Amino acid sequence: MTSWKTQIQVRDLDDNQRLEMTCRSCGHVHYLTRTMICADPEREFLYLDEVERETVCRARGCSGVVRMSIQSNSKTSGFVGGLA
Amino acid sequence: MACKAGKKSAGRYGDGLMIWHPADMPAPLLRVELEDIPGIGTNMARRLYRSGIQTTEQLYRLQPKHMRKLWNNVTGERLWYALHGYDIQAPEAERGMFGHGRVLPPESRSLHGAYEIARLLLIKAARRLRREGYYCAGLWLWLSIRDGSWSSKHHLPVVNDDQAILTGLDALWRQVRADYPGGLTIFRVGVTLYNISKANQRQLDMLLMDDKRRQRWESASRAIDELNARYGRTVMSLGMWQPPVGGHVGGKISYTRIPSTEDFW
Repeated sequence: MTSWKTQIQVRDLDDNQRLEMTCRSCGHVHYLTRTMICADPEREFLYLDEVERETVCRARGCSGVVRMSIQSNSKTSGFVGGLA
Repeated sequence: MACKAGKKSAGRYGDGLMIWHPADMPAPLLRVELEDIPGIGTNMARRLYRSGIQTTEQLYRLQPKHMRKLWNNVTGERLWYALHGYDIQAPEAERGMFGHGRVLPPESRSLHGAYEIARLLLIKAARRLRREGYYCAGLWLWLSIRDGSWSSKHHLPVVNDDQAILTGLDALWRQVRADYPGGLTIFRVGVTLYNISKANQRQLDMLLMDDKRRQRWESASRAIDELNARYGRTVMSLGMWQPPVGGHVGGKISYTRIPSTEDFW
């Protein structure tokens, strides 16, 4: 199935972009960054769905399947002179 | 503005659907009250009245540079272009502060109860400050009390660790106690970390030789953050961690930010 995760590679992410990994069993959340994923060579070529499949929950004794979401880095602007 | 006008159409609360065609302009715009124009609040309206501008039509007839002069900044000129139909986009806003506020539950409206919630809110704000790689140089405390409000600021050396920031809160809270020795009822509390600078742009205080101490506290704060991130909740904090009844300490949807899961830990 096509989704945004099959179209974005790790190397497409900004350095400070964080990926939120939520466990489908226990709800525990941990975050991944590009630096963390690219600890080994050539991992920047992984697609995000591959990263999601290989990641497991980090809660002690869980190791459940996780759901990946991407955090928005941009902030919405405050109201500026009726123009925002 | 058209959407806003659409919400008030024909004496009912409308759906906000309102289209102003270029051929009809500026007649519908001129029917909008001066103070209903987004960007003209009470203070700006007062300033305009003092300058003899009482209606939207008078404002519309001004020159762009005149509006800039009235506003004392470029926002006035930008508003002129917006009113005259130009597609002016607001510049990207830069973060200026980190803060949280909360209405207090009835059992926490004493000085002690309010302090505890202010402390939790401040720890949450400090965590966000660190997560986004900022330092701050000021702390602002605001209380809503029976007779109005109380607020004060406290200067901090450029810091981002919990210990330094909570010490600032203690100093402000001593001020509250001194101002109200008989105690008071507090309905709402707000804390804001301001004067922020990126970690690589901060100016250290030459006269304050506490760098070693600060670095140790920063390491401690980092370790606490890492532990909380590992367990996905607050397992460690400076002082007790007892969220008030109803929760929602620093984890609400604001106008400019979508909270992340970490805000709810």
